[in-house]
Amino acid sequence: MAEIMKLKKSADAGIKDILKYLLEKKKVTGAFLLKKTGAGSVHYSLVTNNDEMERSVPFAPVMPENAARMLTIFMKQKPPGEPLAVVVRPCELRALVELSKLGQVDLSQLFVISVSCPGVYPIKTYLKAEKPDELDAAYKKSAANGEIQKDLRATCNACEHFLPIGADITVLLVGKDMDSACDIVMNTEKARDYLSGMELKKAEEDTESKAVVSLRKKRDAEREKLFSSLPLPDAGMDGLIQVLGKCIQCYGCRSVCPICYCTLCYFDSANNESPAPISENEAGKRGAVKVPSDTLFYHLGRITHIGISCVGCGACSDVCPAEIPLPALYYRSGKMIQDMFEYTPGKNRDEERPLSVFKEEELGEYEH
Amino acid sequence: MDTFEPKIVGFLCNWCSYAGADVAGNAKLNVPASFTPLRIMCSSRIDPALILTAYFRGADGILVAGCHPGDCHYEKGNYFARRRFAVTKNTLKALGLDSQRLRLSWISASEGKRFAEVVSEFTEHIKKLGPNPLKETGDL
Repeated sequence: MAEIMKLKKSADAGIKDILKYLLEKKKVTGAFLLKKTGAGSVHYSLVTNNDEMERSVPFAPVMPENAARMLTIFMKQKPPGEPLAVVVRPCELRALVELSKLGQVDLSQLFVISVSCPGVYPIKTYLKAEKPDELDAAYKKSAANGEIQKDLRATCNACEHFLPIGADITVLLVGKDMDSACDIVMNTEKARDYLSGMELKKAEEDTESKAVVSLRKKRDAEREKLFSSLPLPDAGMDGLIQVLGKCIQCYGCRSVCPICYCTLCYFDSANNESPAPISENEAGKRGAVKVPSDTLFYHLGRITHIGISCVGCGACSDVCPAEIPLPALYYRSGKMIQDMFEYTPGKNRDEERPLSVFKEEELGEYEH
Repeated sequence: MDTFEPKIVGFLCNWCSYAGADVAGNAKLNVPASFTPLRIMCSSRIDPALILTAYFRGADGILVAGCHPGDCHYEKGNYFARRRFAVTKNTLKALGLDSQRLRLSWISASEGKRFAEVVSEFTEHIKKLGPNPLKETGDL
């Protein structure tokens, strides 16, 4: 049972009220959330003015970019003092926690508002929708009923961590009518303190509601389906070439990945150049080489580098022009690596990333 | 298959395993010519990308060797190396590539004999596996 504050408004309006209050009382320096732009698209924005807040759409069913990625750039050189309020999805929050472990962002400078997440539409589906209202209505309906919405991102429908971990405030969307209810859970002392001046009606409710439990079950089944949709590992090398061979190496997946934070990527460095002598030598041995000839290397390299922290947000799948099943590939491989160390990225802020620590007695089966 | 001489890339740590290889040489022990040693400062220097590079360029086997646990020149480098190695190996396995071509061994600076044994054993093991199929294809 958790103490829940009920606002008799839509989820959007309710959270905007809270943000406006926080801004007015100067509890936060600004609000970071999704906002409509003139082009009709939705982008993360820093809002400091109450009029502009009206144009924000905190729970628009789309993730134009993983917020964690934006915030690491954005939070640089923020002086100590009041935090920034951010409205993020649970996977974005988990990515933020991972990035804080990597020294890229200071979580104490954030006031985190998150949601029990019904998922998001792929960017293309959202932008190209002929009837945006219908898309919106379908989204709200499936969220209220705790149903799978087949048009959502594949990773969203397969997501197991759709209740945020470690947010200051959680807005309940799954199992709620987003048009008429804004039910929020205060998770931290900070939240209770910041909002102590607001008149909020209290109630008791179980956050593991029927809709949440039923959605979790359905998503577990979807995840099994997603993972088994790859012909790997049974199809061996040929199977892997089948899956990844279509890659045009635009590096889009890397550009949008919240965990890929390096300013100079290994794959862009001189270490990974294939000058003529190397290429000609390789071609001579093989008869021919594809150019660039490091597609499999790139993806496997990325999996070994970021797999341990992959939160399965699905940003990579939204941008892939070759429509490679990246969610299945990265999400599954990432989970396999995380399971080796019983690690859930972003779950516990105090737990070190497994590749930064060790036990003296372990992994004996890998030594020969 | 009898004529198959594997090509094995060995990443040897400067302080233990490379010195171990030296001891093997001084003692005139037999070490298969299929082995190409590369000296690195510590086994924890091995970024998975280095192993993968060797693997995709067609190395038949890849050996990572460092100091025994507890004996690392940098105190704990080999413990980190072990975790990374496990991740790399499991990734190959999960994606359907041949993870048996990767091996991690601890060889100290005095274990010339062990060095010769590890390399011979690994060479025999790779001979049984046959050549790395990735060196045939240009579709990588």
